[in-house]
Amino acid sequence: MLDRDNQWLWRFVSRRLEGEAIRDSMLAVSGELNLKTGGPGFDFFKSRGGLSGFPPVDDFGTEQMRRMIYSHRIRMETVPVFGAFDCPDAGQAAPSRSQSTTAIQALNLFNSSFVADRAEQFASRVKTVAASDMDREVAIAFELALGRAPTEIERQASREVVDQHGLATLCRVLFNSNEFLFLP
Amino acid sequence: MIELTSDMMTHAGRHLLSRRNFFGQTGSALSAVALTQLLSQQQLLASDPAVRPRIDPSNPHAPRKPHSVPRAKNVLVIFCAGACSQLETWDYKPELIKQDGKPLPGGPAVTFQGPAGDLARPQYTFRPRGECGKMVSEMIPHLGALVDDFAFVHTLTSKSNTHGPAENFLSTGFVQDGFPSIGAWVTYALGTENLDLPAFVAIPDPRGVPQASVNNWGPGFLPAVFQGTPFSASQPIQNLLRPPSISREGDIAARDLLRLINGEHLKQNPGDSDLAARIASYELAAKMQLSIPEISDLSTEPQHILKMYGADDAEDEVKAGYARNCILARRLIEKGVRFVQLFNGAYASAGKLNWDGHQALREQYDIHGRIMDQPSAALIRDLKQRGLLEDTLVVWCTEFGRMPMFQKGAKGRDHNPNGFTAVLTGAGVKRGVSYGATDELGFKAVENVSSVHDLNATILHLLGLDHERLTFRNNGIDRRLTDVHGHVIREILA
Repeated sequence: MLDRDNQWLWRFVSRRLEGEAIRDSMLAVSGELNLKTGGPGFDFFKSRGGLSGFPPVDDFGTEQMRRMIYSHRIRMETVPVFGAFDCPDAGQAAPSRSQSTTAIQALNLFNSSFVADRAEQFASRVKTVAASDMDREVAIAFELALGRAPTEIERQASREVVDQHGLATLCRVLFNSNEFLFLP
Repeated sequence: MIELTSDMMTHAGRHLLSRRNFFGQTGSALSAVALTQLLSQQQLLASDPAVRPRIDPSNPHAPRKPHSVPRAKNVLVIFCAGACSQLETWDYKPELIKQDGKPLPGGPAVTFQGPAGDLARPQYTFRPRGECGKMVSEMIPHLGALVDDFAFVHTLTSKSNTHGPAENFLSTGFVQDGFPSIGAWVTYALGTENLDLPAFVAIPDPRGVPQASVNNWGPGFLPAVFQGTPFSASQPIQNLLRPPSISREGDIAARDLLRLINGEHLKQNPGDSDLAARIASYELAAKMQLSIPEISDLSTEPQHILKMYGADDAEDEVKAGYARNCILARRLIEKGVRFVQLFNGAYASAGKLNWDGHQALREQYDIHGRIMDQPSAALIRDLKQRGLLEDTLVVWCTEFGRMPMFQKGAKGRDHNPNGFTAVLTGAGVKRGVSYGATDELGFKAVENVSSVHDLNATILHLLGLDHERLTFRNNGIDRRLTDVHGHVIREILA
């Protein structure tokens, strides 16, 4: 290839969404995003100070479904699940974000109950419109998450998974796909 | 002709080589040449330019070469959180016994927490240990037995006398939040030998996390991939295993479908290393799902090892828990994990959960000493008997020391950042030596005064890294672990 490392910009430089945008996108796709603006931020941790640490909130209500920009930041405490996607420590100015790729990110996105719950919600949202037509379910899930119809290979493989393990399994996969996380 | 590819150049290099910038900056560049000449005549330039590790995004932890021949390959830090008193452990002060109950002449009226009381004798008896005859407190008899292998630095100083900032300082070289931890710097520089496990593991104490918490193992402004992964023998990695709502078959099917969808996507974007790296990260995650439960499963350890560490102690749950963490630390070092940070003691809790003995030092240290001593000593002995100390540097440290006086109306000591002790042993370290001294009451370092920067510079040096050349550019500054300070403590090197 002439410009293997894209020095001359023959293609768009692929860019992973920031941690905040990943979370916001999941909530938008699952239909749970709360677009309330302004006011006090919501909490990712059960305490905002004190000496006994910051246990994460594990029960999420509509307040926690707001865009992540409205979350209350605890200096030095990493936000569960999404903090691992290079959310900067609030202790120092960060003129730019690093974009790293780690196994911990993969574990967080693939195994956290937060993402599993969003996948369930996403699936029930799809089911309300698709009326138990499996091909339509697959098509709508792709449309909502990736903004396109599945290719034939994807449609077949997805159908099989939905048939055997339920629609939420496909939704979990779409939330973990590179296409969901990357621009373009 | 050599073909330049962009990955051979830094971002700044590519920027400089554009035609417009070349002409625009030649003027100022020429004066910079003149300045360099002047500085070099006056020997004000650093001897070597900075070296930045070249990180392959699809394999960021691939092993990388150090700057020079290393003495150590791995590091184990035993971090006593809460400021473990030098006067009750390693820094023997017979004069303090004589001056017991008298005021410290010219001493401060008020220290960190309040008014200062009178001088107080060391709360434990000291006796000579090993062949070198080092005087060690009877609070730590098991560690005391190992002094012939230890190098002591008695004159560390810290910039802060407050736990959080001082822990930051010890772990990151800065008192503020947001700077990379030493383990992150080391894995950024060197990668790791074992790609199936995290390169940098932080093992929190069973009683809780230290005061500066994740700062001690955070990546700061280094790429997040270099942060420490916290887990212990009792607390596994978060999100390591599939959520309970998902079946094993469903999990495997999801994994296969994800591979297919990502593979199709990669075909649309050939040669995109970021996408390939992310696919690889799922493979590594799957490996960790096997390797981490395996390494944390201590049931394969024989009874005599559990006994040696005190992991079978039925009377003291915390000691048994810490001992299990010590065994985990050995197993991680054994598997080639680059940097292991083992914590003894938790957050500020009036000395209940860590070494912060303000009010009732002897009473609390009786408990904490018992927890720390036998397991830590067993860990060092076990590393030695397995030949692992040949390649592993072990550092025992704490964020600062304590005052020779008791606090007014109390039976404990206040914070003292002016002279405290670290212990080093293992790869590249001289045995049975002591470096520097505090004054005769243990108030302040007076002979060969050193700093936390010096300790960090020495750790990097033993790994074959020059602390002045290991840099990362952030916010317009080439940042270092040691800021603009630090001297390798050569007197303790073998």
